[in-house]
Amino acid sequence: METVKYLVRRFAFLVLVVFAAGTLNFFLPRLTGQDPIRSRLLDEMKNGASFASGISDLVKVYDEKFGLDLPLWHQYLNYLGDMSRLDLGQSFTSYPRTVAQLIGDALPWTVGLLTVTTLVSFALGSLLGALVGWPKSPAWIRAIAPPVFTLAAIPYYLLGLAMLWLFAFELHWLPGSGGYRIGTIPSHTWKFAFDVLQHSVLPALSIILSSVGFWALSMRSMMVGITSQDYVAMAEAKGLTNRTILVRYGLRNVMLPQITALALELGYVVSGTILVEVVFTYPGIGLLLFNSIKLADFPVIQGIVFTLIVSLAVATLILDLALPFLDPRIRRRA
Amino acid sequence: MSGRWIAGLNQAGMVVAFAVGIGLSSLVPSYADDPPLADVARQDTLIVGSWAENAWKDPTLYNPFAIGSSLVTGQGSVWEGLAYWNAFKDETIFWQASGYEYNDDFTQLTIHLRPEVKWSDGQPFTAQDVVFTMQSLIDLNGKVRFSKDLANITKSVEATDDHTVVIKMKAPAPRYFFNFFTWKWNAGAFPIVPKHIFEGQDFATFTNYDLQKKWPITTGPFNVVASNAQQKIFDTRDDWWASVSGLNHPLAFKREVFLAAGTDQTVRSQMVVNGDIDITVLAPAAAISVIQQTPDVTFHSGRKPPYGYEDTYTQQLFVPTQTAPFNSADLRWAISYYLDRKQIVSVAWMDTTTPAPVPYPDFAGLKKYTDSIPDLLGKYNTNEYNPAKGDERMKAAGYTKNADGMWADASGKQLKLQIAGWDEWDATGEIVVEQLRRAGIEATYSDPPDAADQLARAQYTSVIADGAQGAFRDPYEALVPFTCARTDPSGVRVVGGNKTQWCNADFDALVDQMALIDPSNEAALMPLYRKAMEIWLPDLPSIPTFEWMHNIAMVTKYWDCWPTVDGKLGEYVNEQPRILGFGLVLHNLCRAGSN
Repeated sequence: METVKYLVRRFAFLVLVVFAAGTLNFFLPRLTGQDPIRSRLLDEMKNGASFASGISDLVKVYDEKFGLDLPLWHQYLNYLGDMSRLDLGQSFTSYPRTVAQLIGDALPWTVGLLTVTTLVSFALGSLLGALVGWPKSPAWIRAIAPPVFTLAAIPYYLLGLAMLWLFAFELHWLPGSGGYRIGTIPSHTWKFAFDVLQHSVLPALSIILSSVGFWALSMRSMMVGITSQDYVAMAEAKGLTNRTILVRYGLRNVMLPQITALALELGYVVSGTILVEVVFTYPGIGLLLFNSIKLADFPVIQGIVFTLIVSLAVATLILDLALPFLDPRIRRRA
Repeated sequence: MSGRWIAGLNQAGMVVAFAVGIGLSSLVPSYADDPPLADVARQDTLIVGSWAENAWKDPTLYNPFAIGSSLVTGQGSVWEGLAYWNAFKDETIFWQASGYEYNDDFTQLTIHLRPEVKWSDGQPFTAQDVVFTMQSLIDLNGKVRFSKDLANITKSVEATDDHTVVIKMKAPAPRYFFNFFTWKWNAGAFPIVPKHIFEGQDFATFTNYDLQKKWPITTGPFNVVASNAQQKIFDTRDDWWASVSGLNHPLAFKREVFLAAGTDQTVRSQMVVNGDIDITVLAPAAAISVIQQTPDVTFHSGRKPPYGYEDTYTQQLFVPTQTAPFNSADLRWAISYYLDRKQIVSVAWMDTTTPAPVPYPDFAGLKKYTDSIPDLLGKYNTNEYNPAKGDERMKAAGYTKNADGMWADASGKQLKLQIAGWDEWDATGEIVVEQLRRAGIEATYSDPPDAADQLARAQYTSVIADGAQGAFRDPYEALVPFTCARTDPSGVRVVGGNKTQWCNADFDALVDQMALIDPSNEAALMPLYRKAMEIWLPDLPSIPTFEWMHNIAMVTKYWDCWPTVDGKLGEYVNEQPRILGFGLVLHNLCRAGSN
């Protein structure tokens, strides 16, 4: 019964968070005061239009099509209804394409890139941090730590720019933009997969290099704290091997907060890394969001942010439910 | 204990793996199932790099009239026009049409079509297609692109035979063919669509895209073979009517890749240097940089300044002339005298443009008019930097300098100018602000997202820095946006409207007369233009600043015969890939090193 109550409470909290964030998501883009349809039509006309009296009528047609002619409160109610049905609507700027189609096209790129980079940097960083924080680690491990920690202080888009200049512009080793070679059509072939892999190396490296240090830093500080614990001294007194103490007494106790952070980080996977995707013109969610904000494409902004809200809320819920399995102390308190 | 911990970790891992798996497997891009493409070598491919993030870019929309459709994101390459226009020579190049004529009072237009034109499915292109396209648009009257403009002025359209179309207008319209059927910039002209494909379809929603059916069916030289958010790929057809009939040589390349997704200047510049793309737009600094890095690039003016060509979008400072203090011509002239345009051009634009004396470009057709009034432009020198004269005009406007050296009105209120611009104006805006501050005007600059919208609605209260579009070849087009008829305080009219709300009945009468005169009739237009400028210049409703340039990098590694000043074919069209005239570039390109 207690478990059911806990689940209901947690689920209600999830709904509340999604509702509140979703409401902000509706109103914030509109605070810019932009008239997206008119602006886009005007923008297009900047190339020269000697005769375009019909644009006003077209603006009205577009506004009706997108429901922008309705009062704001009515638009908000429509929005809530659409979101509750998971209908993200149609893009202003890529009409008649739907937001779900746009997100569907962009999401695999971002999820693929960020899942791999997050897991790789988590694994490498956690291992490195644990070894650096463990007093009996080899000296060479400690030697490579400072440069890695330094990389953590550099924003990944700056690393990206530096790598772009070096590996793409100067050495011509790797492609510097796009998700695949110009003129190629996405297909389920090894050739295309290799092409994608090549194009993802630089964005992935820029993320991994700057994230490894982040994971390593947090892991090291927790590991340093563990080494002074009585149970570690006890394990040493019992004559357990260094490896056993590291894995069973050290790693196991510090993994919980790391995994919590990982779960939250994975929730962000769908949001993309905007600046990296912009720097490398990588066709993921981040680039889509960036362009949508520039073009005031409210439905796409709302769709992406709503997806992010839901994914984060769900990741948090899953974490809440999973943590008691990972740490019996949490289960007992719950 | 250990087992439970591992079990917990396994569960968490499974949740993550499940989520990732579901995400990856169910969200494969929707275009991954397009038919496979044959490989075409780079040296047989023309790669067009887009220059900006565009709206209306659904890659599966090839109906030029549909809601959400745009001709600037690749469709301009696929469709063809009845005619094209070369701004540099003021020359019409007939294409699907072989010619046209008006009746004496310009209320009837007869268009002659080339009998050899064929659609890509082999069907003949006939007058019935033209009539169907036009009548459909007229009937829709505002519900789709181009339809309102057409319905406003067209009384009837009929085919008198397979290759002759007769259009009757509601009022004399000597610019009808140029406005609707001559492809230039992105300016009001539209393609004729195949009746046998579009008949029975909803013009507002029909996508006209189906690769299995080889749609879109056009008369153009391509089959669309792939189209997604990143790129549109068009393969050259061997049975293109223009090459079969001998009007044009077969296209020099086998495939055009139109990159729809923009990328930033740095990457784009490097793609030019590496020869990864063949044509794209660059900012002046990037243009200079790529010239230094590679010999395989040229610009409209060759490898020397100004690099680009002049656009129709002449930059100006617009002010609300019906609102104090901007209702004073003295104040407007004072601002003009305080602007050092040479410094603006030199510092902000690295001398890649020139000051603009009038609110329209100096294309061949327009330049002769500007050149005809040297005495007026000497008396009312809109490009003169003269702070002393500016001070005189400020005093005449009722201002005096206060203890801080700033201009204030009779009540002691300091004059404030809030200048709003757009991203390309940011560097210029700061220079203008500094020049005005030094002259005693408290000016500020910002780049609000709705500046263009405010300007289009003529609903702004200070200064907006932007361009004016629409003037191509005759002074009527240049002056009509300043007429009272184009003012509309409700902001209904958005393009081609009177952005400053300036209104002068005498000026209007002159422009109304110009409207009825054939644009090629210089003898009749010239005196009217002069009289109109005698009114416009002293009042200076907008303050011209500098010419707007398009700097297009053209890579010569694989392709030549670009439309450059010193090129093999000269400047036969403006080469901006987004404009409708780009088709002429596609027609004329030749292989690098060929004769």
